[in-house]
Amino acid sequence: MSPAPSPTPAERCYRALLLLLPRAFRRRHGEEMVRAFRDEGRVEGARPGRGGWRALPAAGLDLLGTALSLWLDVLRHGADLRHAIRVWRRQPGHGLAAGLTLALGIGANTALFSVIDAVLLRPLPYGEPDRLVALWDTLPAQGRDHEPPSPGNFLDWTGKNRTFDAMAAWMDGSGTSTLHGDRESAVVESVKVTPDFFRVMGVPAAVGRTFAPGERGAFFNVADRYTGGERVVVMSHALWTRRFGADPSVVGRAIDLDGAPWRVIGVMPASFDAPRPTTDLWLPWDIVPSFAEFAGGPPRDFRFLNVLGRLKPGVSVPQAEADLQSIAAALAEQHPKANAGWSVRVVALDEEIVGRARPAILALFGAVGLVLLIACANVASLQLARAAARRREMAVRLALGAARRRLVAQLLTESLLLGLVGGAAGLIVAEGALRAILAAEPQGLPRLAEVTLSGRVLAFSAALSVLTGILFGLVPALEASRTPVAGALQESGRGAPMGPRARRARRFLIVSEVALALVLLTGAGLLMRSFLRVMAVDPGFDPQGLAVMRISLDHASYKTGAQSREFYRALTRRLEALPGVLGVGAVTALPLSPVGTDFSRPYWREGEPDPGGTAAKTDIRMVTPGYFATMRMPLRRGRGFTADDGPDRPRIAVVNETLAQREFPGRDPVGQRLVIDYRGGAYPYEIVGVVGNTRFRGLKAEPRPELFIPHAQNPYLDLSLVVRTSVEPAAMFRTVQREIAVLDPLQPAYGLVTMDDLVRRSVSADRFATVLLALLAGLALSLAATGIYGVLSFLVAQRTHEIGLRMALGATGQAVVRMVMGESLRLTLAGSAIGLLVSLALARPVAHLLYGVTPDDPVTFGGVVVLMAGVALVAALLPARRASRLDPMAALRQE
Amino acid sequence: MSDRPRRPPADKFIPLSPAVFDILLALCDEERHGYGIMQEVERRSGGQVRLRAGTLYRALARLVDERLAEESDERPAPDLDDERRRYYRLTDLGRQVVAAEARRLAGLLRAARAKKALRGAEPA
Repeated sequence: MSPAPSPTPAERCYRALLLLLPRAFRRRHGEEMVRAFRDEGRVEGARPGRGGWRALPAAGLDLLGTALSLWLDVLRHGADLRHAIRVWRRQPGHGLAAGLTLALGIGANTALFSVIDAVLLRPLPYGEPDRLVALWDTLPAQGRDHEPPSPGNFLDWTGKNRTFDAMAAWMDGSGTSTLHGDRESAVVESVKVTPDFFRVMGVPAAVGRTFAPGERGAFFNVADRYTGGERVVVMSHALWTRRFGADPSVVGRAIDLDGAPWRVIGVMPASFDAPRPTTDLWLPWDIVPSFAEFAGGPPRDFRFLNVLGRLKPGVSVPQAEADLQSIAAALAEQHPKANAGWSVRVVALDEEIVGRARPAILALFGAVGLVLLIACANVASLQLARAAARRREMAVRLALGAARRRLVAQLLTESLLLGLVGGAAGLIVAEGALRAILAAEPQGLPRLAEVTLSGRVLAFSAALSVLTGILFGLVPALEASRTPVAGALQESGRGAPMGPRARRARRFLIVSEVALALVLLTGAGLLMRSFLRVMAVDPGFDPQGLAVMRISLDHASYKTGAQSREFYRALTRRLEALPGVLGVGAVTALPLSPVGTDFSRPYWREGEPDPGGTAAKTDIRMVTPGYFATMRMPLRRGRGFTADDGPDRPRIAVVNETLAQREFPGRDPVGQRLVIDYRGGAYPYEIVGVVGNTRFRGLKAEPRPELFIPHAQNPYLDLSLVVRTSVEPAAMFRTVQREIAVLDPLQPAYGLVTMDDLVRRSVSADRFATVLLALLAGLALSLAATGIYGVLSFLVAQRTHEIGLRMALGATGQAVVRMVMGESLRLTLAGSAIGLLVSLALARPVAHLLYGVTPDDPVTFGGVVVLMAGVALVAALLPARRASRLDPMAALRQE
Repeated sequence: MSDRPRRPPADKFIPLSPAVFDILLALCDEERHGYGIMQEVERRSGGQVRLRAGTLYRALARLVDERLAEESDERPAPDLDDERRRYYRLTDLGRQVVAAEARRLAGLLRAARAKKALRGAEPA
């Protein structure tokens, strides 16, 4: 027998939640419920003292449900509910205003919670997703912690680890195949994955099968040439329905991909979205034979893989990381040239996917929470006003022997009813808001397709309604129940003077509303200024009047570099001859574009030793001669490329300013040489020119070193075409497509878009957050304004007698206006001061969401205070004028 | 608690919700305190069914109201510590209700067997 242990924090939480239960029930069963909770915690908690936290969520939810049904029982038997309905029907205007306010607040919260639910809370749609991790190479000395692993190292990880069930890799890149049909061809997104890919993801095929363990079928060598084995492919649900009418007999049949027959072995379920939601085909890829042409086998210093792993059951992320890091340490010793200084990082997959979106989503959720608090404050002040008008009713009921507790219960019932009605209306608001959010399609918000008003969201909304009902109902209810019986009964009805306590309560509400609204305004102001800064960033090229599309020549028809070179040369000539076309260029990867062969390679200055695995890297792009001029990228030094820079001439390159400054500070880079370690061999390139930087990865991303090589010297099959037009660029799409078809009808262009749209898309996440927060801030501001108006009107009405007296004693109308406006201004400034402090504290953690603006930006802070004060003065104008026009005699006679 | 003129017939309570049937079953063989009921239900269902305290005590309050169960007395729980706990036992009516519900379920089971709906789901 042990003495009773002191209560754990979890137990105290549970005990606090018991206060939600009706008192009679709590008195009778509360102690035993706490004991049962404690016993359960003892069983579940591994360590003493920590017990109970794990049991708390389920137990708390159960308690909420119990409380709700018990109170419904109470209401069903009591007259409170009927009375509440009667009260609200008597004053429909008041109920409507309060209900609408709540609907907006609860609706906004419900909508954002459904985003949070889908993006952050719901598990990823893979088998046992908590065992899935992403693996990255790291180079700690240079602060690089997110580098793609190399094939050689990947094979060692797979073979030597003790913590993974399986690992899989896939190759990023343009990843497209041309699917030839009976009548037309289409470009589809394909990805080459190692055979364990589906086993790692833990998702079986919906029809047929996925790659068998160790299926060594078809594979490509690193130059993307097919080298043997049976060609098998797994198809996406989307492609299966779009192209084959969801015909199950497709499985087992061959389809024509890039001019070769591939047997379809399976179709994935519609929910499968890896590695990208738009992936249409998965091709098996075998690392070892695909690097057969390499002397040392799969390379260790070409880092370009994406790697996922499935942890063994019970293995934690740090354990797996330690395991792989010891392998990496051994590899660094065995292969110092490629691996010295390199290590490994293991990241849980859900963190990898949604980690970056989390702070922005939580910040927005905080914002809607503030809006709801303001709505509550508003409704509370409405309730207070009503309570004052009902003092006589309360007094009569108290005099007739009603217990104060009963009155509180009745008033709370009214609030709860209002909260629930507001919540129901809020669902309509939420549905509308969600549609708007989904229509905006903010880039960078992962898993958006999964957002719905789910059961969990509805439960959240219901709980929120109850909570708000209590929140805005409690103060007025307690206040009303304190009515002194004798005094109130003697009052003549309306306009009974309030005690200082009640006035303080109203002022407190205004001050907090202003403070909350100011926090939102500051946040919106900061984001807006940051967004304007982003939009003012020079992308390094002129995006207006550019039509963009992508062409992926297939390997079967374009076997040699000369063929590819000739195709693009001919296409450029044809397009340049078109009326309305000002310039034509092509590049392997275009700034701000989601498609493209975007890669970087190690390099060093000629004459210096090969630095090995720690060599700096530069992005490499192949361009046609017209590219720089068409993009209007400024040439800073030397020259661009011409049609003469062909394969039989010395290798040349153009670098961007960042690369020039990094390698040749204070010197002329033109004429210097850089050695590029370019897959399979290192070659020197003579620099012939320097072009301006572009914001390749988004307007906010600092430019990286870039090196351009003439496409004719290194012909790629896949290029992005840019066409500068004197007409609306979208109008040129058809014409350009026709010209391509004339050259080769089997090579369709895809990804047709204007450069303006690409720029717009690249900032859509910022725009989304900014617009949303601005809307919320506007909502908060108008709620706060109506709140101020309501309370001041009420205070003026309350002080009719006093104001009449002052005017009778000689106060002018102006003085009265000054008095009321002054009160409004005082309260607003007090609220603003609090709001500013809170904003300063909150802005720091979200500072990284801002661009070019500090979180304590004085312009923003000053602006919002002025705005708030202005709005407060306008809101006070009407009540002030009303007060100044009082007839002193009538006012004095009122008593 | 209000005194009702006559004991209502057991059929009035049929069918029972699964949670209520679980609780009544747990009280069939012996008197138990609340946490004892939770443990017994979990043990008997092999961990499948887990009652939470709120659900349990609300159901118990109702069962006592409807006179299917009654409180016996308060005494220390032997298996836990020396804290006093409230014990519950079935009333005669409660036993009748359990029997009636069991008969109903047995009838359903017979019907399911007759329709061969359980083929493969049951050991031969």
